[in-house]
Amino acid sequence: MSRQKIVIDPVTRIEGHSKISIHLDEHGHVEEAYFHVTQFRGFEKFCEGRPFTEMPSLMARICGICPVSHLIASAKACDAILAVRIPPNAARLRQILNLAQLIQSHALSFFYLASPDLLLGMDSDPASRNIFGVLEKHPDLARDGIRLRQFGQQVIEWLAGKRIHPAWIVPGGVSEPLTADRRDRVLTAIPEALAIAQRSLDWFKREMETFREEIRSFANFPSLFMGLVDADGGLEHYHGKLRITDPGGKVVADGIDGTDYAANIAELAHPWTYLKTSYYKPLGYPEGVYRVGPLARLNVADGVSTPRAAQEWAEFRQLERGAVLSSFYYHYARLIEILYALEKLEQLLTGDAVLDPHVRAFARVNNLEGVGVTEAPRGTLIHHYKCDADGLITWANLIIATGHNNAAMNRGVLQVARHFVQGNKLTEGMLNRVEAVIRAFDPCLSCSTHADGRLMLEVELHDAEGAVLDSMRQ
Amino acid sequence: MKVGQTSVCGGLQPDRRRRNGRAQARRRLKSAPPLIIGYGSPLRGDDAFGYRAAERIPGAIAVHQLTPELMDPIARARHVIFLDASAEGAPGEIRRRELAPAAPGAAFTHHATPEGLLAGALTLYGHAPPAEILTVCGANFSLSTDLSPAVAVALESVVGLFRTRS
Repeated sequence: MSRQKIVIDPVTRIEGHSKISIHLDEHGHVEEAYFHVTQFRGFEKFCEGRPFTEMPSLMARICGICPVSHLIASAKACDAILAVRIPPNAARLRQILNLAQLIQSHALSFFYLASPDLLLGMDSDPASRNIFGVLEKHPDLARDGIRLRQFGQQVIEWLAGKRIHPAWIVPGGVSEPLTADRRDRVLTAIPEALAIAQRSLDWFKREMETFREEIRSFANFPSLFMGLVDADGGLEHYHGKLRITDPGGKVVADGIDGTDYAANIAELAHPWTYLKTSYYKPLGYPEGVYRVGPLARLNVADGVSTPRAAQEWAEFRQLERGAVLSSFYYHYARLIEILYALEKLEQLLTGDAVLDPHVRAFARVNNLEGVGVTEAPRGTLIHHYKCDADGLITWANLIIATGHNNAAMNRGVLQVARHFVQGNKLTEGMLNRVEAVIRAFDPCLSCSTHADGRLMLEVELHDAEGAVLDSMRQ
Repeated sequence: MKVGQTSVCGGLQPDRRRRNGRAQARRRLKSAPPLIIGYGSPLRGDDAFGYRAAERIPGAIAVHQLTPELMDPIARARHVIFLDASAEGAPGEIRRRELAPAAPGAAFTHHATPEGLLAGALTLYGHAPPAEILTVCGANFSLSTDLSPAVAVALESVVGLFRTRS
């Protein structure tokens, strides 16, 4: 038997367009596997020449799922160009909006994209292995998922005026203060959302036992982890500094300011994908490969500042002695973060400080460069701009969560393929597991490369000479 | 639920409470205006028709794409009217079609079809109201924030129709 290659094209139930190719050796064993992102990004280039004040709104157009993250990272970079310290309530309101987005995005990932595999089975009929199949067979869970996403979207609309691409976050703060009426509406809705989050988390913990094989093989390997932590080393999504930990849970680098990202993070390009790969510069590639996102955030944190999520975090960290390594647990971490976000929302909204009308600082261009770092639902998001004295953008660089995770996703695809794919005969359930490892990371390819945003996946099987022997498209 | 509310509700038999609740819901439904959902990309020329029309109709929902969250308001509506752009027909041509619940295909992820939302509303919330879709045929779907002249005229007709109704 000659060497062969399997191609999954397009990858389904993810944000964006990609394919996976699996290369087999002469004996039909998986030799190599690649996750190819087939879109391209042009945002850094076509924003050149625009006034920096336009950047938050322009950058929000990168994505329809997590525009708030881009708004925040961009606005933080612009705050640095203004050289202002934004009013405390502006930071609080940005935090609230960021958490609302985290809730709706995590709900989308878990309930709409991942739950069909978890509830209907990795080998179930692909024609009904989708959210519609879930709502027919598990209507209670589907209703919960829909309600939770509605909640997150609704909070974004109440605060920022609209659900997608709001213009409320601006350089120097936010454009309008929060009214008591809107604050109270959010607070009234939180108990129901909290009950759903807790119920979903309890359900997932009970079900985890049935996914032992996936837990063992879904991108389960030692790597570094990176995420923001607060001044006490606790879970953080807006403030704080970057921390990097090793597979044993030991801190490798701490207190990294956003402005120093380039000294710590390097990127490399591969000829087979438009998505660049990030790594921890001092260790080089591939030793410096790290993961970001919910799993990484729970791994790098020393604790969680809200009571119920703190308890869940402690239980989560008991899974392993050091860092929790299996990427299957991204789903678990996502649910804990939803719980945390709801509790944190309640904390931030309670009291009158959140109604303080002083929400924006004004200044002219005082720096010709600015960096903004935030935690997007999928991981650390970095926006870095340079401008001229008139405030026109001359250069921009964006490092997106999916890029940080690129090397880990590729390793994960290889690990799952080696575990589940045998020989040159493709079965749908086998390939679905290869896709499912990608879904665990919840990549946003439209964010990380920026093209048409379709949701597709393809798998190809190639021989040693590169000829396509078999392929599947969903 | 607050403690005070528990004691009030606790005075009724569960069946009677449910019957009263259903009767109230039916009365609210009968008097409610139709739910109008306009969808499309405001950055893709005439694809923006549904979105822009909904922005101008009081109470209508304007969205970039149809998502499962809409099943909830759909299930609570007396009648649903979707507004969308179409690629079939002469530019500016308005077409109307009745819709029935139908499960979507395998590609169904976080965006949906009108028929899929109706089917989901029926499955999850027990009610799929009568529904129809009004489409306007577009001439240009490339990157643009402008409607072509024929679609702009059709938009005024459709918006006027709903303003008259309300």
